[in-house]
Amino acid sequence: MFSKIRNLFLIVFLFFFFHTSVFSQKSGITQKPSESFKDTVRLREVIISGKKGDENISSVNMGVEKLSITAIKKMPALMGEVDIIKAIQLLPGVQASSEGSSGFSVRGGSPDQNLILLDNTTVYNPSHMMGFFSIFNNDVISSLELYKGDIPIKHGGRLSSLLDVQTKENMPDCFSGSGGLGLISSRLMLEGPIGENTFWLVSGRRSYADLFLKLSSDESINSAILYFYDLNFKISHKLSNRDRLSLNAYYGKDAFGAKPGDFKYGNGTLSLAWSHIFSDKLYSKFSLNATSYDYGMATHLEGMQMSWEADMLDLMFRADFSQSLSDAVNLNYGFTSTWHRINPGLVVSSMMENDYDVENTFALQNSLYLGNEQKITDALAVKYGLRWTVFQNLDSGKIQHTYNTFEPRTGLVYKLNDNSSVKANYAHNVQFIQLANNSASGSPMDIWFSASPNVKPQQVNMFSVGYFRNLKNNMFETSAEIYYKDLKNVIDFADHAQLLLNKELEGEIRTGTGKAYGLELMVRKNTGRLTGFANYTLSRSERTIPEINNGKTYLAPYDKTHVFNIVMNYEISPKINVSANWVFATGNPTTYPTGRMEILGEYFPIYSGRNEYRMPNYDRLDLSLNFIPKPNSKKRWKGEWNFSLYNAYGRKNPWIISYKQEDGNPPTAEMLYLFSVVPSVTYNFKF
Amino acid sequence: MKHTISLMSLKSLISLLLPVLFFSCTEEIIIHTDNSKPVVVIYGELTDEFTHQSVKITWSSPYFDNQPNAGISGAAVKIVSSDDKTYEFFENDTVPGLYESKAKWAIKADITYSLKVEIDSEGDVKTYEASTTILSPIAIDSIAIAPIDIMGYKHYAVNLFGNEPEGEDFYLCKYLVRDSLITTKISQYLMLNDVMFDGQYVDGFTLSFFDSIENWEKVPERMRNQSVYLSPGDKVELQMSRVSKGFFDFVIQCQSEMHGSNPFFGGPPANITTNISNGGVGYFSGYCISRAEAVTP
Repeated sequence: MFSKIRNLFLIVFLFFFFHTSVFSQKSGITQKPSESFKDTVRLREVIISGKKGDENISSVNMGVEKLSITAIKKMPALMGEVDIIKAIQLLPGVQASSEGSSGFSVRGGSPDQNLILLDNTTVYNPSHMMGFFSIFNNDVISSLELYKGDIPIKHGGRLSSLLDVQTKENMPDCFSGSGGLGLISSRLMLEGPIGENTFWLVSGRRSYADLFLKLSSDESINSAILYFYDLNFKISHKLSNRDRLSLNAYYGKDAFGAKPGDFKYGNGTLSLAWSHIFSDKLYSKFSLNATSYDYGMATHLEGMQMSWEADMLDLMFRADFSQSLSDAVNLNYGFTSTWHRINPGLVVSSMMENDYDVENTFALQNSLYLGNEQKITDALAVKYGLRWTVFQNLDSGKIQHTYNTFEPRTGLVYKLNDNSSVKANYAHNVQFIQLANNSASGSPMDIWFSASPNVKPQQVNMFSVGYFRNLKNNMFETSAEIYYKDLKNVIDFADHAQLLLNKELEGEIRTGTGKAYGLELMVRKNTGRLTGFANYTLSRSERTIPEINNGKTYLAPYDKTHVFNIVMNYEISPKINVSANWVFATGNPTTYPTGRMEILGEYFPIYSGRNEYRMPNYDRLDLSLNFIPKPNSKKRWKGEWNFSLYNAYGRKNPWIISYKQEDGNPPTAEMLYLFSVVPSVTYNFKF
Repeated sequence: MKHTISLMSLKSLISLLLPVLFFSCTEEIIIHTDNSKPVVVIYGELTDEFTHQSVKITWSSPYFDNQPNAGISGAAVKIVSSDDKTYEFFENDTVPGLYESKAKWAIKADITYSLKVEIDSEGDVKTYEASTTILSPIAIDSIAIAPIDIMGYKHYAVNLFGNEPEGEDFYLCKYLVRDSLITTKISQYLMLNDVMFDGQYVDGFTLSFFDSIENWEKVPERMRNQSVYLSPGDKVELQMSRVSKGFFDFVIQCQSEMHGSNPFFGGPPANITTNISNGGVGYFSGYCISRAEAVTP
């Protein structure tokens, strides 16, 4: 182990020195807004506060998944780290991009096709620790919604989904807090009022593996850098009964390395929002948003200093309006303008005369949207809208190239009776910036690139229909949805593509078409001592790109034929509740060698086609037990214990399959699996 | 020896990181795949060393086959150069599929060498061709070996001095340690390009690190053979060659594909490029070797 760590750091160090081939409207406004803000709600919540028990059948939206943070906290978690992204990976049509990863695929799309918003600000890389944990601190999250293709008209820019994460908005009566002590990290959230009109929240989380490493007497261990942290800050002020101002900030960082060199990456988001009610029929929200993502490596050895920095920055202004023209007609309209700057990489070295700089790229993305949700009859409601986006590549401040795109989206719901409905939906989504990453699970070394004269924006037409039925007074929700996606200008990369620090990245891009289709079945039990859901997804996702796989259609990397998820929580008593997750999924498509050539005593693979085979099927059972010692305690301090078993039956799910050659013998296959049974314990508290 | 770090090394990085973080485990797994039809594999590296040049011709085989790949006997092999010389090759008496020039000769810079291989497979004669143009050698001023402490472990850095010519260039580096070639396999080749120092004087650029013999006792026994250890007084010779982009890509791809893909870095598996015609695989290349040596302090 020690030697591995030493080698790790040595390699981090060495990396710098060598070759550079290297080198909602929610469900629509169905309720009239209140006339003024109340202390405990914000504008957005005003719109959705009337969520009915049968919303899943009455709402015109399709493919929307909601999870409460309370339910998520009860789920078993890897190493006790409650993670909302791990939770949404259990929803129908959603899957982890790889074992333990914070990347997720929605309906066969790649992870970069998901728009992830934290308080309406884009998050480009939602992961800590190379993807094994997400950046979202569950103590500060109030709600999350996942739109699997039928993205609200006010948002755009991604093909597959929108994950809308909102931090807490409710003003506490007094200073309070919550937190937890876990095996990997600990966290603390504090919040409180300032006077009657201002609310603040601050939270932090940090891992501490590196603190234990310092106890080692071995320099290669005790000098190690290995941590992540994140901070959330929020302040919200009610200016008047019609105006509210809020500031939201997030900053997080990951770092690992040692004295010779280190690697860091992190996100930062900032949003300043002003909500204003013009009248009881018209409200608005104006916001300034900024998001950044950066990563970098550095070596610190004398005479061999080198650094590699890359980052991206988005600045956005948006104005959103919601207007009720009548009980039956609710308009949404607005405008967004986003300025993108992408710095693919700058390498500076004491050993080089000149810096190696991959030029920054700039783009401007302006969108106008107008949508309407209209109740035609008591049984029939429709929504329709259009989003117009102008995407411009900028060069020295001048417009170099312009794309105009229109994204029509429409849907309807027809209630068959009080307990059931059918829905249909069409959405056209366009994506202008995407990730230059062809690995299976993503990496922190993200390079995003934009549409350009040579790279057309990716587009998808998605059709879906569904049947929704509630049972036993909405205790059970059931649904069956079918979708079909037709993708155009879908992006993949040339064989052996060099994506990092490549000044001619566009030369590695290959485009073509794709399609994805599937059936999603879901049963959810919302009330009672036993709650949870079970779902099944049958799907297929394909790509056809002339220069790849000899032009033959091949399976998309995230194609999975069958996926079963079961998530259950049972409250044994007020003190004890237990949870279980069980997951089964067809193995990811993969490319295995079918032949080999022998050169200089070593064997090298020959492949017959891309993604012709599949990894072994994946299955896993997670268990957890929440123990609340004093559930009825009147004391302010309330604590509870969470005991989790990740992969309870120790299934060895292959993460990597590699090939080993020893002493000139023919190759053998070897699988690397990340987790066997992983027990954990976490103490959570609030006061 | 730990050398050229690139995307390849990122794979190593992650492979090393994960065990540290998550105590991952490995075990053998049986994979069932179809067996692709055998194809001809041709590999030749010509050099400007005055020697019997050679070309190896074998059949490809199923990936997990227990037997070594079979050599192809009875092929007609010759090389024709752009200066109108023809070099006939003859099969080695003891190694099937190994074809050697009858006489010793050395390739020359700026000359194109064209390989032609005719194989009669059960009456079906197929011809495979490839060519390589030899690039002029790089002028190395010197190399220097400098001790360096990395986290309490003593290493020796091999630093390069020399003028790198302008234009896109690619290099192959091999090492002799104590007069013994230690880079005999493609997985051990050190490949460089000049993106970071194109047209500049390379002033002590660190090419490789060697372990000091002092680390021998510190390294677990099962891992000792993964490094080359230097002692004071050991001679290290660098053999550096300017190679074509095609050969550079071939080697990098071989190194990348050899152990399969990694979910973090590198793309999906893909066939290794070749310059052999008519459905053959492998590579035919040639290069001039520049040498520099230094003694371990």
